[in-house]
Amino acid sequence: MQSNEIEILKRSVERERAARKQAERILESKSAELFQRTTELKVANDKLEQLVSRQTSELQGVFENIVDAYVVMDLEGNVLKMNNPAEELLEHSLVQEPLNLNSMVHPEDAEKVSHYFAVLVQDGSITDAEIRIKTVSGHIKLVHINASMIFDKADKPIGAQGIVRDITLARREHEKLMESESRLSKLIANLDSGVLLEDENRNIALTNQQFCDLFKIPAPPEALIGQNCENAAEQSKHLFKDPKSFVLSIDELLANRKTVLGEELVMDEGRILERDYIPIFIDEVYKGHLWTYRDITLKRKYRKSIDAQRQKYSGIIANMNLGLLEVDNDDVVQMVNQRFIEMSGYSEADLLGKKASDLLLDKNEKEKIWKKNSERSKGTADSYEIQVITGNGEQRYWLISGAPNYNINGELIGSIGIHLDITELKELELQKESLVKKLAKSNKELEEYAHVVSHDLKSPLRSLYALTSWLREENEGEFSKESLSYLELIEQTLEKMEKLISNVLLYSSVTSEDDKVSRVNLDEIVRQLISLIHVPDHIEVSIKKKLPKVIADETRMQQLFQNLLSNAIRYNDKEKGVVEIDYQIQKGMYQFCVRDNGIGIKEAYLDKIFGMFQRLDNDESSTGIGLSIVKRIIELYGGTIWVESEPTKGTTFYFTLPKP
Amino acid sequence: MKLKSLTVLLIEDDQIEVMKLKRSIKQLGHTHKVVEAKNGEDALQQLTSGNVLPDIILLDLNMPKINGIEFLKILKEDAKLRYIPTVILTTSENRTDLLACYEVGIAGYILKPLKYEDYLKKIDCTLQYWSVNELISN
Repeated sequence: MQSNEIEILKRSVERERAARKQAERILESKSAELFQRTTELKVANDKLEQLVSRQTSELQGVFENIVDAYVVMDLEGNVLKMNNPAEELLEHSLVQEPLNLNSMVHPEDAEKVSHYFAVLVQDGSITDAEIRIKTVSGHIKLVHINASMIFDKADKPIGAQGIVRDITLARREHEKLMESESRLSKLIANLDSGVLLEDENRNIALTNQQFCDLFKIPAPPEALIGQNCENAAEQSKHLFKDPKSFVLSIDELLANRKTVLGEELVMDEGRILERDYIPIFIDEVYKGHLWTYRDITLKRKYRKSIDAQRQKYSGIIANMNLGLLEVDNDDVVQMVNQRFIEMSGYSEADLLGKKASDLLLDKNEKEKIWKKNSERSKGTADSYEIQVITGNGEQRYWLISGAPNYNINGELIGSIGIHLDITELKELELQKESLVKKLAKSNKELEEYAHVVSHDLKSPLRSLYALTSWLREENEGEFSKESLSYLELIEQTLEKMEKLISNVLLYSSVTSEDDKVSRVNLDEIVRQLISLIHVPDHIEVSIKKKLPKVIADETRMQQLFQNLLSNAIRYNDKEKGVVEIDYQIQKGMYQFCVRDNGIGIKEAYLDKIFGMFQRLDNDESSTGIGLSIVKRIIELYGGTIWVESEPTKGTTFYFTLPKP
Repeated sequence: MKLKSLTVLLIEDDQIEVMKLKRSIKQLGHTHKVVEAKNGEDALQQLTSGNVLPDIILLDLNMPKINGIEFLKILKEDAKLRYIPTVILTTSENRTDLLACYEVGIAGYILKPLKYEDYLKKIDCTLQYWSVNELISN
């Protein structure tokens, strides 16, 4: 045994070793295979991971780059995520600060938002929601929202996501469009033209009330839309004066399809219509045509009346007796009328295009015209006289009324002058001047003459007086009482004669020529007068109120009041005589009155008292010139005098003098 | 006081006026001597001939031939005669005359009044006045 057994044992060990080695080999290869697989799996896994991550980032990119604002929020409205457009739209950056969308809702839309939110929760989404939001900067924006709920794995809502679009501008544009459309339709409705728009099939697309009125269509314009116009011309031709040509012209227009504007149609009742035909092409395809009709009856009549007026005035201008000249800013003649041509002594061809002043004026007068023209450029119109030398070599005087001439843009383009030949007038004026001069001279001569005459008349009076005195002296005690009284009468007569001559001289010297006017204090003068002239004790002369100052000759004023006062005093027969001087202001004049309670003047004499040498009594001391002098003085200053009187009661003289 | 006797040249064409002056002087008791000249020419002749050198001249304005103012002008051009005081004695109240006379140079301007009594007074005053003046001819 032993050996056998050992052998057996040996062999058995040998087999076991081989089996183990086999198993080891299998294990080894299996584990290698596993490793291989693991490695392969890892690679695959990596690849997968990469793929996933790439896809996620692609999505992220899409999300961030979509044009519309994309917002994710939780159920409280807190924004979890939003893209750039959303940040721009909401004017908010999440990086800086969290944002709750509810805070942005326009207060007026709060209710609307809660309604949308309820729908969102219930249906899981909302579409076409429109709300207004207010941004940080205060902008109110109208936004359009499409949103859906986000659920977790357990189907529990955890938030919402949505696309937000700013439709503020779009809405505004839309509204504008609507407005403009409504304006347009209103405009068409209210046009004073009748409008008819037909499509390519001659169906009415649009018309207005005016059209219906013009064509006497009883239906409202809306009712006509869609109706066909094939027979319209036939139906309404009777409204026109020439129905046949009305139909023909419409057929022709429609055949030609060319725009024809401003055709005039006379209606049967006399009204005049103006018609436009406008074919409408879109991309060169005929789409219909537009008719417009306007009632221009009034306009036509107006134009006719304007034409008539124009004709009338140009007739007047052409035929008037006034020369008309139109020049430009350089005094170059632009237009003349027939009369100007006649006046100037030149032909129209001579005048047009030439400087008027070169043709007609000498140097001095030219300067005058230049001065006037420069005033014209300041816009002033005036008239002036000028001396011209006509084409015939005649010297004439013209009165020119010139005015600046403007074009329709209001620019100064020259001046227009109306010319009147005043040579005859001028000559008369010169004649008058020389006459006045002559008259003044002869007046002066006359005054001299009056002085000489008065001197020559007075001298013999002096001689007579002296002789009478000597007669009395030489025969003292020898003349009878009667003879002496004759001598006295001679002396009295001489005195009267003297006074008469003085007064005639005085009267003749009341002319404006040698007037030395100044401001005269009448109050002073009259008070002085009263103290100088003899006032009997039984007469009281009073000035009722302080007399004014007038512009006059002091001496004349003295003469005036002296005459009136002396009369008032002299012709007073009352026990207590009263003479009053007063004045009041009337129509820019001082109206004075000298009132007395004297003998008065009979009505029959009232007209005569201011005449020369009129005496109403036999008073020897009166010359009858006093009141004539008074009247002449008052009239010299542009005043008037009149008298009111009642015999035995008294007289009042009224007179006026200009108030300075 | 005894008044000086004056030699008065009266230039006057009216004979009664001459009588008036002479009579007045007599009536007033004056001793003045009156030399008459019928007009300006006459007066000039007398003056230039040296026959007479009056103390004063009484001159009427309205005269034939050379009138008063013309005479006055000629007088004022004479180197010697111009110093004789000349008083105008006239009826002319013409202001133009009055101004012209003073312009040429006069010693006075007396208006002849209507009444002889008034004339007497005026002549009295005038002659008395000149008789108390210092005059060239003396």
